[in-house]
Amino acid sequence: MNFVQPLFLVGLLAAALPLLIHLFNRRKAVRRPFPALRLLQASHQRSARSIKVRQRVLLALRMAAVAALALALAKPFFLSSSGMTAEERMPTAVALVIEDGLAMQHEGWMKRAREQASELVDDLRPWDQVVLVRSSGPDEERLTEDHGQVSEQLDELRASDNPGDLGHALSRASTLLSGSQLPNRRLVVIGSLTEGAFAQDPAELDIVHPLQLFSVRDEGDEPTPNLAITGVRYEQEGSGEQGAWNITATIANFGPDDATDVQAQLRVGDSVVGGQQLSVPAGQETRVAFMHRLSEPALTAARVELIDADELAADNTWHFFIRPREHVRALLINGSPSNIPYDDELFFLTRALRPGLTSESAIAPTTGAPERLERDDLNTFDVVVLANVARLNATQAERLRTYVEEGGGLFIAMGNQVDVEAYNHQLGELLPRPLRGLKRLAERDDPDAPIKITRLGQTRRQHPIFRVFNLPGGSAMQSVQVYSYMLLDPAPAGQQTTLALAYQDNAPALLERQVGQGRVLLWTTTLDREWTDLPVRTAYLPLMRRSLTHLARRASSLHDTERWVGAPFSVEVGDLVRERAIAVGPGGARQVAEPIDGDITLLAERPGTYLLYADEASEAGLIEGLSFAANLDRRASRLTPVPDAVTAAWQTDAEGRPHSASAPEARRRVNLWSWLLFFVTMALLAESVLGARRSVLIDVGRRILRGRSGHTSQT
Amino acid sequence: MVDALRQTYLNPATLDQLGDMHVRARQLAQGVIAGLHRSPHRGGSVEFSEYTEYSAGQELRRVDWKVYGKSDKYYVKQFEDETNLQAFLLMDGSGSMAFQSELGPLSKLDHARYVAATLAYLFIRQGDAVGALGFAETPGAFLPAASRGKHLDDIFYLLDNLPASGPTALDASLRQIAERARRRSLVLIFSDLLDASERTEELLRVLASRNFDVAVFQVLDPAELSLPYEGLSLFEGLEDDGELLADPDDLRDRYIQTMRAHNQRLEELCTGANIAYLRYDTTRPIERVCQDFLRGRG
Repeated sequence: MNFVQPLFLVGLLAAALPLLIHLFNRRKAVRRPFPALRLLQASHQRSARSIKVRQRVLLALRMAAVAALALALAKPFFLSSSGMTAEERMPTAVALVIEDGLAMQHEGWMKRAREQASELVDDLRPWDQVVLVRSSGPDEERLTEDHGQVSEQLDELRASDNPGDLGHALSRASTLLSGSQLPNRRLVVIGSLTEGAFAQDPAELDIVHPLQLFSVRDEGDEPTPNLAITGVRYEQEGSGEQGAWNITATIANFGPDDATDVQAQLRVGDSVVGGQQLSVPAGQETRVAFMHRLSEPALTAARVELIDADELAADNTWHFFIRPREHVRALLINGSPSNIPYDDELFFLTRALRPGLTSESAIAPTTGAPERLERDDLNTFDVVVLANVARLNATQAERLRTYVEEGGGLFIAMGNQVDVEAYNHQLGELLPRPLRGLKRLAERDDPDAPIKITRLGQTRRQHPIFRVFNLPGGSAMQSVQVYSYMLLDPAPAGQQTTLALAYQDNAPALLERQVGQGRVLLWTTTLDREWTDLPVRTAYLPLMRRSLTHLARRASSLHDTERWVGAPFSVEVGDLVRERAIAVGPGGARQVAEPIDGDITLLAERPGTYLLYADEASEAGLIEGLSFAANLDRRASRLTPVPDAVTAAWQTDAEGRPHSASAPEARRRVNLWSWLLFFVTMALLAESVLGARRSVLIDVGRRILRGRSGHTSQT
Repeated sequence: MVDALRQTYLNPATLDQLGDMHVRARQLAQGVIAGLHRSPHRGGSVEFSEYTEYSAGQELRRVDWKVYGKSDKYYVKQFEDETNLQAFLLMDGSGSMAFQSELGPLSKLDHARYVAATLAYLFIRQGDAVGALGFAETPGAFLPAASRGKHLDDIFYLLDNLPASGPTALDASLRQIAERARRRSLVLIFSDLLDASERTEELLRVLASRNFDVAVFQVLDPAELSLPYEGLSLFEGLEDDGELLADPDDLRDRYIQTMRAHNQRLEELCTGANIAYLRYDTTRPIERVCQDFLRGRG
């Protein structure tokens, strides 16, 4: 509040005058001898309370009247920009920046923002210009005097599925205002003003126009409570078609309070297949795990949902594809090739892995020499088999080690080519146990072989390879003859090695070791008939297949890319697509893209799973590996308000002066003294009535009543 | 001793005043009688009391010197056939009775004096004996009842010399009159009765129950009935009962109610105890008050 004549405020001291007069009057009272004082005192006691109230009200009225008079003489006023007359205000260009990003899907916020904006538009004068700038685009706005058009845009305004960028919208609005010719320019920002609404640090925004901020949030400085699923990871447990899937969702609590009894559920296809209750501490993340077994190993759409977790429901669902790996690609390195097929080291193995028709086999073997370990991209294989390979060079060994650590499987089989020293040196980091040397029990054609040889011992049923070993030949394992095998040294201290199978003389036959993300199996005898007759036993085929599928790289979401709704992304299709790629999303929405240099660019408009087809949207054209899921960008989930210091900085220039100070005067003076004088008059009137003698009031009342009754009787 | 007493009470200045009162009482009494039929009262039989202790103002010749010779105390021999009626005037001479407002032509005490004097004159004129007891802070001078014409002077003297100050000793005086007056005497109480307490009411009942013929003359000032003052006032009690700062305008209605309730209670008490009760303010003519009393007894 300001004053034209602040000197008159000294007159406020006069407000004490009625009090002083009151005290003085008490001393000035007329002394009256009165005999019936006792009765008078009794009467006084009974009316003292009402008298005291009346006196205090009177005193307050008198003091208020004097104070109000002093204030009125000081001529108080305040500055207001509302209710101006046409002559009083100059034309203004107003940029209404409305946050319509994902965060505004919070229940009730968008409605509030629309109402606030509508009020502002209604208050504009016909010659004012206005533009509606949305935080989620598009960048096509221009200032207009057609306020009706802006009102229509406001009516149609809905919160979008992408987080939007309020900072970008402010920059656009600022640019538009700078282009206006009108003398007044004003930025108005309406929204949640949370950190997630800005793609860049909001503190770096440079705003040069007077700014008004309207927040639709209720929580003040505190973050608005919000839970969000920020990611889902899945991994195939075990291998093969019967594998189960471990699905882990990460749930973040962005609110200031702990969230308890939150219901999370896994939905595969249209069915809910799992549910859990969980608690998420404030500001932290919790993981929730589900296990699911697919009915068939096909690309399957799934999603994790939080049920009724908070008022921003959009980020409570995460869509993803479960992508089973149907084929195990195996690279078989032959250490002892031969032109005679059955003498070839891999003769029995390749036939065991690819029985009958090639297309029906779940394992696709590729054979080659050790050089392929250098030449080929090992990541295109799930398992590498070293069959009687003499030795590896340093590069091969290093690539193999990296491959295993990143999840690949390695099967090492022994044979007469194996150089024990080289193995221990080059592959020491991979071998379950160091090799010691060959133990030759008998020659294959030795007539005493039956008493010299050893046999395979009992299988360990708890090992994944043998867990379901009721397979053909399974029972015949113990009849397998082993003529020679590789002796092993004890494992170094601290190295974890699993013995999967032993010979009847207790020497290890099959050992397993976990290295990084991958596994290594060491088979201490040969894969051909050189040291054992296993390859001609019925157990050979299932044992080999199971060993390789057990070793095979697990199908998982590790290499999946996260796609966000509203953000364009490119997909490398290579030569899979000749003319066009078709993405079919939620509700059957289709999007067609032509490949350019083997890439296509797509934009997901809704959250969900998208199947990608090559050339035609049919089963034959489906590219499972490139089908994708799109989710809402979790940037918007953090509903923490932008700090006051940041918003305050927007409203001042580099020298700390408010922008409004440099703007032309857009406010008018609203005088208050007329209201104060009115109050003084009313106070004096009330004082006259309250201060009048009771007898006078009663007399006046009687006269009025008498007058009325007389009037009534006359009529 | 008699001379000393006469000198004490009958100095010339006092006699002048008494004379004035005498004349006034006579005039008033004539005014009273003028409107009445001749009084039929002849006085009833009264009980004989052998001796009473001498008190100041009694005729010395009535002192029984024989008793004095034996006991060294003054006793007066009372005669059974002394008079037909014995009346006692019980005069309140406290500070509150001295009050006279702008609305009242007389102070309450003066008004009561004139009424009492008039009645005393009438009683003595018709041969009845009249006694008096003035009281203020304590019971004061007591005049035994006598019917002689000169006794009237003593009564007037007593009336004229009431102190008109201090608190009232109404209760003590009622007790004294009950002890000293003969049964069936007529007791006329002149007071504003503003301080009448439950004790007072009880004593009045006792008097009435002992066959005293009691009449209460409650004299009030008009201002006491209407509280006509304006402006912030510091009210002072006249009987050392403190002060009160108030605006009478705020209190008037409630005060009038309280005063009415007080008077109403007194009236109900008197009516219930067969006591004659006359309430009037000092604007009421004295002869009218006397007439009211006498008519009431008729």
